[in-house]
Amino acid sequence: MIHFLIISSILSTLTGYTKTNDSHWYNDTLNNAALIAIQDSGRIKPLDTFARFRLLRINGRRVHYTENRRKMSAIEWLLDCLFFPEKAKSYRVFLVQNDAVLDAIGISRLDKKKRDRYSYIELESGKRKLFELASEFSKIEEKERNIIQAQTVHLAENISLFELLIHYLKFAGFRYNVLPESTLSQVFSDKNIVCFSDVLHQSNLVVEQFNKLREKSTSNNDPVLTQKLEEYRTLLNDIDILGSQAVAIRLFPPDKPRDLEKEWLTPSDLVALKFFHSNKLDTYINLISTIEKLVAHKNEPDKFNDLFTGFLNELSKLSIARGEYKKIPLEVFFYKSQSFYYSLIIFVFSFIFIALSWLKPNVPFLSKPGLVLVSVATILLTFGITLRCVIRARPPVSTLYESILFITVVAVLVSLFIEFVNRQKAALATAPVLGMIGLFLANKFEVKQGEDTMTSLVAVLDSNFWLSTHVTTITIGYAAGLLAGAIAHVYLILRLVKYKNNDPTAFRNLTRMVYGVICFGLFFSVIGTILGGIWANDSWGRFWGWDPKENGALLIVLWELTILHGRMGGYIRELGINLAAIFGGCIIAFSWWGVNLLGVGLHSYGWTSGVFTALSAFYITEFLIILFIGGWLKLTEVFVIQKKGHTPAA
Amino acid sequence: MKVLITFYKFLSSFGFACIILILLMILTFLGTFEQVDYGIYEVQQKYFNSIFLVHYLFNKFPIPLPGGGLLLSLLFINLILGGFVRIKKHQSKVGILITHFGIALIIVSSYITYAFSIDGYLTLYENQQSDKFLSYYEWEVMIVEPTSKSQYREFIIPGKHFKHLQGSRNQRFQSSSLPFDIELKLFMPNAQPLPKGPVFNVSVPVIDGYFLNQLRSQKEAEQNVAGIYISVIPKDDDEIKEGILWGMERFPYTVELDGKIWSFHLRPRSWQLPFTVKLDKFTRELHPGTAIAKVFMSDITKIEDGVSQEQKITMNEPLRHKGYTLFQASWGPGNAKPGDPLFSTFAVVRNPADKYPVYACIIISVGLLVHFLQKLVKYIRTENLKITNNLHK
Repeated sequence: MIHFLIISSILSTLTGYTKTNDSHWYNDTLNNAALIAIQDSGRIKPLDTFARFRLLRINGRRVHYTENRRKMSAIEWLLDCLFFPEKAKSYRVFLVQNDAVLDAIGISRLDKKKRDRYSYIELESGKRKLFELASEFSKIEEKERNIIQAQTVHLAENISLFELLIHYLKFAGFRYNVLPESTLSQVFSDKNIVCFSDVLHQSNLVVEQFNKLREKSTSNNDPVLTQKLEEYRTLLNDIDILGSQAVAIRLFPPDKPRDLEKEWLTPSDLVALKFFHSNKLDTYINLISTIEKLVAHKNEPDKFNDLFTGFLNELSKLSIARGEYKKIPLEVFFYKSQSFYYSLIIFVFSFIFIALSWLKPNVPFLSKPGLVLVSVATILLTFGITLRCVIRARPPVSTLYESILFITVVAVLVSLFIEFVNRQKAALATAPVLGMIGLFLANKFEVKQGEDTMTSLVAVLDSNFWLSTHVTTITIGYAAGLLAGAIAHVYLILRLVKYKNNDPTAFRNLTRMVYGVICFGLFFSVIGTILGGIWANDSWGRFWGWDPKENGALLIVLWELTILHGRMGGYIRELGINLAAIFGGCIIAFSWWGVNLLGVGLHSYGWTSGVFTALSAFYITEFLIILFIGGWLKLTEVFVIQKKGHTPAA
Repeated sequence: MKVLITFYKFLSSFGFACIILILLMILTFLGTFEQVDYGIYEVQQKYFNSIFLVHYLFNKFPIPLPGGGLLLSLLFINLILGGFVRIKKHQSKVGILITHFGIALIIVSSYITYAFSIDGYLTLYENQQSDKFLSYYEWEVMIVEPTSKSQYREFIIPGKHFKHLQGSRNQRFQSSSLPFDIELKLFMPNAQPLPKGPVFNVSVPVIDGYFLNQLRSQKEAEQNVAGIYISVIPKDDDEIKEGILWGMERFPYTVELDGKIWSFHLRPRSWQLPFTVKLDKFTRELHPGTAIAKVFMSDITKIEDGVSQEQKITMNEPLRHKGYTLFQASWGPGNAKPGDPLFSTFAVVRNPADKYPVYACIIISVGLLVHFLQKLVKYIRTENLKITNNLHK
């Protein structure tokens, strides 16, 4: 609880208690809402995380910009969806990547761009056609769909998800007028207006009376009886419909220990439990009653805020009792701190300083800040990764997204270590570039997936021992290989611009760096690959099965061994090692991402779609570099030899 | 002698190592892509378990390549000659020697696995028990002789004796214990018996209106169902009986001879376990509110010499006993409703080299660590020296 208070106070400090002019919500309310624990995608997470990824999926970014360009946070958007659905319908949050989708469903675009955002209201008239087309396209296998088909399905899914949100609290606005002469009046103790929670409270009586009336009506055609029965039918039907719409968020922790009951409850589940299993659910019905009050007082921010604080406390007690709340504040803090975003920004600034220091090597105030900024960015990145490990109680890499972050931080740390040893600024220049590329890719990947990146793991991956040994070592191997490739690029660029008049010592040092990093990478790649085999032997009963992912790892090992033996045999020298390192980067990209595109093998948990274009661009660029820059430099070397009549420095 | 020395130098050279490594890379790369069209088993046989192969570039241009078996053998020779015999015996090479030893152990272990390991599966419904497991890929012909009303005797023709019988090849099998010879022909790794219609002709024999239709191998080779033509040739010159055996047949092919009804089956090869496994309960747990599997677990009882022992087999935690390892592989039926009996499938492996990779991993780790640390220390010293020299300047 102390933990909770500290983090809450930090969050409050970060965001303040004030209320923005055109917002319905006090910041205090938003902070409290962010801290609500829910169950989603198999794990317990803050409502804030749910809101962020739901908005990211629909909107293509984590915030929404209102008509007057105010930045609306994801949690505020979610609260609007829940409590002010009509207003939320007017928010332009639906990202349409290609307007051909809208042409297909007959929506006019007027002054919109090809890629633009639309509101639910703007799309509503084409909804029927959209769902028809989406249903048709869904029959096509995902990989076979063209862009328009894929985006049509995506848009339809987003609209469905949005509708689930705006209908979620419909039950809380439910009011049923009970006529004084009705038998329902006795059931609800002469209440004139009955709420959803009242019906849940009296569900046993309602069902009992309904059954009695039904029995009577079978032997009696009395119209009064039929009318009474109809009243019950209408009421039960309304409850059933409202309940079935309240499924988007698993809000209520079960009142049993975690081991006995894992699945959290939605209002829909409460209806089923109350009516079909006659469970005693007083705690939950009281919470439902509070939600009704919240909806009733949604236009009174002060009252709402007080009620909301009480609601959060009551709800949190349930998850705290099950030991499922402790990491909620930390996760909210993690996302609000935006450590990866700030790290990226600082990497950009550090690169500017370092680039300037290359241009003006004798100006000390340029290089020092560069180093400091890279260090700060690396600390932030490491901090973010560590927080993720703590939140997930997992080693740093268990998903593709995390592999990007981890590879980035390892590559940057190794660069800094090299810089610490040789102080030639080459590795220092590589560090921010890798940091920027890595974090940019991580962000792109997260946006593309539009899903929570702290996903539940499939059974075979659910092993912290193997995740921390095999996966970690193999990704360190990837990082080293990519770093070697990156430094090799620096080598080629400097050779191309005739840095220091092609001073052989500088280039020899760069090549030694590349070679050293390859050796470092080989160590981790070999160990990681064998550990992977040992894990496969434990999971599937064979050490090696020539599965594409295994083959990818083997290709890295074989190539790095070839470089080592080629160098020792004198077959490749300075330029050769650097070109080989760049080619090694291509092999790592194939192993890391490429094999996932093949769609075969046992490593199905690593499949991704949509990276084909990026990967192709990378391969084309790298092959062109090897072919033309490498070729040009080789020709230059040959030319120099012929001119001077001696061999170049090895 | 000079030729021998040149040959030895070539076999032990860095250049030869590079050639093999690059060829292995090409093979691995091509084999990986081929899996998209042909599945892992077929590709493994063609590319990695072979001596030579022909790869068709873009499905058109034939390129002969050495197979994985040949390349690994050559790599082993190169490793022994270059990595142990020819290498300079110096303090700085200790790490490399250790690493080479670990790699040699991996290659040896892969050969032992290839030559001596067996693997198959055992499927049990809850409360069912068995001490036999079946092969995923190999088939055998079983001849059953009824010896009394409730007893019978089995004769087995292992798959290795007939799996090559494709095209026009056939083979006759004889046994002094049998009153007939068996001739097998036209083995098809994946086939389906079909009725022969009047409007088409087939190139294979038609028996009782049916013929075996050869199908393309499945990408997941364990889904193949084999078929073969059989002729039962009585030793007393009686009439030859011809039939079709198919792996999924519901009733066996039968022949009546000397008052006995002999039955003939084509079935997956089976092996005996030295203990019995009983499936008590299968548990499948999903992450709450999702379709993502969290746990697959089989509660089993291992029965051996009348002694029962309860154990659990789950993902990443197999049962290892008497050289056999049982892994949680799959379960079913996929459409089971709550309360329906479930089955669990275990992958069963006996691999004498099971633990070699662990030892090799430790050895290689130590070797590489020693070598690269030596290099790193040297590198840091050199760089420090350079920095110090620059400062003095």
